[in-house]
Amino acid sequence: MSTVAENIGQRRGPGRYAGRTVVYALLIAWACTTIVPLLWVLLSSLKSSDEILTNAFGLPDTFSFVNYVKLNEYGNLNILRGFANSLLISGSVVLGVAFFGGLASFVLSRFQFRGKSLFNVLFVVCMLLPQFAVIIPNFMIIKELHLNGTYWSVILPQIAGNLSFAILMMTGFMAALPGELEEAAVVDGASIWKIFWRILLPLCVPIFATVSIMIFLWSYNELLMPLVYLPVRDMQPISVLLSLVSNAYGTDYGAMMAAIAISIAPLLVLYMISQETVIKGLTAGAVKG
Amino acid sequence: MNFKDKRYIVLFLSPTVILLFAFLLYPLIQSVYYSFTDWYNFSNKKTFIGLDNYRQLVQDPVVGIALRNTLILIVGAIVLQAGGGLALALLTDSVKWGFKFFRTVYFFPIVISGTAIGLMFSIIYNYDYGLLNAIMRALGLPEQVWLTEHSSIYLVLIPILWQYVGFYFVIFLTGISKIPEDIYESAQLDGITGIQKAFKITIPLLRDVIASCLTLATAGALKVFDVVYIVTKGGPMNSSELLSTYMYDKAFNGQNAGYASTIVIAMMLLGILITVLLNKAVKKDTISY
Amino acid sequence: MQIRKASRKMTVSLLLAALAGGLLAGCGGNKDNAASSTQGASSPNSGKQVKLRVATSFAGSDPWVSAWTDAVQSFQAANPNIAIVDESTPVNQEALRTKVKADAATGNLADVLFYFNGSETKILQETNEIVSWEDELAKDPEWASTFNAAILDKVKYEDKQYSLPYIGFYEGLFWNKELFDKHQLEAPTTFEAFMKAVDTLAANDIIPIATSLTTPYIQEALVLSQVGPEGQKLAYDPSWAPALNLIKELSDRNAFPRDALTLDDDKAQALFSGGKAAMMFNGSWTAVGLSSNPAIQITPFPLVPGGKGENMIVSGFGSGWYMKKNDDQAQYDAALAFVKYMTSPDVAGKFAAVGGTYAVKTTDTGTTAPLLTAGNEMVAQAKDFVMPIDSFVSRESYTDFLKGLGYLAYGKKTAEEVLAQAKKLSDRNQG
Repeated sequence: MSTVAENIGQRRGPGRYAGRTVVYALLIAWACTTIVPLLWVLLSSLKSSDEILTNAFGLPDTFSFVNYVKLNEYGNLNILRGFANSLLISGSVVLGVAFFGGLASFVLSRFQFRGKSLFNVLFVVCMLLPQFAVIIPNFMIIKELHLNGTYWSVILPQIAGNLSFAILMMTGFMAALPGELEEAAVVDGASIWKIFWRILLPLCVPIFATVSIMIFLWSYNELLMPLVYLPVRDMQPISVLLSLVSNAYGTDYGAMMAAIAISIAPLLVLYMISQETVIKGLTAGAVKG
Repeated sequence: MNFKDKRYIVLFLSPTVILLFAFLLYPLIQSVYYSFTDWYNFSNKKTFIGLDNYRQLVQDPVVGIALRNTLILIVGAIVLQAGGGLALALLTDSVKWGFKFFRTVYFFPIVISGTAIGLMFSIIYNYDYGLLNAIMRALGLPEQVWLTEHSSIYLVLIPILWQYVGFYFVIFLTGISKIPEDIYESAQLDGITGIQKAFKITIPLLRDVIASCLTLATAGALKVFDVVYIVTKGGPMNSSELLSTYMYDKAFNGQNAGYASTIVIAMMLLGILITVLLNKAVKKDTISY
Repeated sequence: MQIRKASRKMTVSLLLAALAGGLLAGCGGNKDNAASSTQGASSPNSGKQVKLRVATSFAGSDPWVSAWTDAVQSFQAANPNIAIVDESTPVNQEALRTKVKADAATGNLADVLFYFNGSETKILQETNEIVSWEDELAKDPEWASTFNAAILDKVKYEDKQYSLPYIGFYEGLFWNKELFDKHQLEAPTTFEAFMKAVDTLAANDIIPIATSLTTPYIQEALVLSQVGPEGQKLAYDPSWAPALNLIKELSDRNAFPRDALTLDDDKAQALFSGGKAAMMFNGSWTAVGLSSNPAIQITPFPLVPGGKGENMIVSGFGSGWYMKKNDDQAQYDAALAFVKYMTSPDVAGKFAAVGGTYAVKTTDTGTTAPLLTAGNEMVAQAKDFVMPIDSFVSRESYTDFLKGLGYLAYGKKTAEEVLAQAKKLSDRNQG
């Protein structure tokens, strides 16, 4: 790791520690801004709906779990089913993007052909398109394919929506990887498929993990598409179920906070796991010179 | 490493191309068509009206405001979000302790969905219940209306930019960690300071990553929607309207899908223009090591 | 290296298994739909399995959800051969509207809908897939008689009865008697009392009227009070100007919350229910939450000077029951039976206990809160009631009009400018 702080601290005397202190102070200050909102959501979920507005930023008067209990009572919400659906949908999207995007990135970073730059234009254009602009046209296509009412109706459009981002990230990463191992494999007579699967992919674990956690997150928090495409309660992911606590007549803030808290928990766990993978992959890959 | 086998090129790229075309490009082409029609209430009747929608677009004062705000947001995203992420990554990389901690904690805001962040900030800015006015009261100062015509876009910028700094932080950190140690070692022998190291070595080596992040920041800024909508709804008096919120407003509230499509096309053109300019400015030859 | 590879393989295979399981479940769901659409003709309740898709607004934390789920369950218990597939979706975020529009565009409408009237009826009618109720009403006079004929008439589209009105709403001026008494104020039943309350309350640090300036309620009350029902139906007529100028005047006198332009309705309601504001002009759906506070009263909006709308209520039946035409007799009969069940006095009575005013006769369950009863009485004693402005104008011009009122309240535009701009859009939309 580089040593900005160390070099600042190469001055003699008190200046040595000042540099490092400044760096830490900045980092910790930012960390406070990122932790506080999470705390706020958790604390708010323990307050009553009125208290959330009137005593928004103090400690709860009474630490009660009544909001979580209320969530349970909201017109047959099966939270576990919701999580299962979310896992299914978002997991499939991640797999789909990783697979198709990985293949595409491999070609774009390692193959030469005319029209390569066209693809960059394609991806940029696709990334600029907002989701809600295509929600009804997508639905019509889904209907044409007779996929309406199935999980595919949300999985496929989401894969399409996230491919550009994934390919952008992965192509950059792959292009920067040195090619000696692959050259050696070619000399040994390995097939393209094998090169991809056995040599390139394992080296790309960090970028796959980074990209995957983002895509999982975005898919997990996606609300409008499953709300419209999957009206059957049994198939709805957790984001939809938890949004049902607010309606046209008023929002039950307490229940909403509890809902947000519940939905965040698995994401945090997944993020920590993915970070382990990324770090291990990086330290393994960084040894190469 | 350069392969040339055409079969693989087609095979590996086709799923991506098919998905992107079906769910993103085809609806985009449809949008271009719709932008030339009079289409209300998503009914089946669409009458061709030529350039009328575009004429209205050019004369619409709200579009001017939305354009200005969107540009402000894009600049903010590039400088503060991506730039902030880069700065934090450089700083974090330079300290020995807390690497994992910062990496985890900086990601928290992204895990919380835009809706929840929007809700939190709308309560912060609220006149009667909000945190800012509570602080004013505690300090003995008069309460303020925080979201005014002039301040709204900047106040709304804060949650949007703040939320995704962690995203760029993680990407840059991954990029920095990939840089092999030996490059730094030789520079250190020459005795350069930390800041010089950052600007002369690390940042140039991150050029590709920076280019990708600029594209991502632009695309993200163009598409952001839910946070703004919840905090200000585009108000007061359209002062914090973005192209994305205005498009949503016209399509779903005003039920004028023809004009909304026109706005989408305008957004796409703006986005393409900006990304092309940015990429030209940043990208020179790819540096590999 | 080997352990890591193995654990990665496991994760991948787990995810693949989940995907496979989902595929099966997903395909299974699809097959079900396919199977149910290949039924042959048969008579209802003959023991043949019928699947009825129903899409309503009773979802999430809608106040009537519990009445709805109970009704669905008891219907299925009484009709074991009919299975209800509940596709109800919340109204907020335009989710229900988007869903039904997407369904209409793809020929995929549910069998029974409880959906918006007004301009939405037009879209459904354009699909040519919905039933016009006159025939069924004629066939069953006993059932037809439970409906209020005047209301049935009001929701007709192009002279046909596509929608059966059910739950109506009304809007009224809610006021907090406790706060009024504390400042020795009279009830806001006259304009003088209303304005005096505004000034006194504002001087005492209480928000006189809790409202967001992005919602239309108080604006509509003022317009109706000014021009009466006939004037209300004339889109953006210049005669509305005095009422709109009153909005500016009220804003100048600090009648509204300071950040009303960015406040949302939820927070405005919270201001009122939390005792920080003394009045609120809003809809009957908020009465449900307020009914537990005995200090809250309701009254019609007072008559403004020179106004023609005395004791007139903004009220309407914004949604109704639609049914899809169906060649399959069993399917059709099941849908009809379901609608008849939902509109029966007993079931409607359970909905009425929650709130709202009804277009059908309802059996009183004896559990209605006093505020709700007072609201219903207010409607019963009104001279006339009229649908809100947005039933008579295009959505686009309406949203523009509302935004313009925000500009007006802060003196950035005049009433005439706002009206003219909205009228321009409205004319354009008619074309």
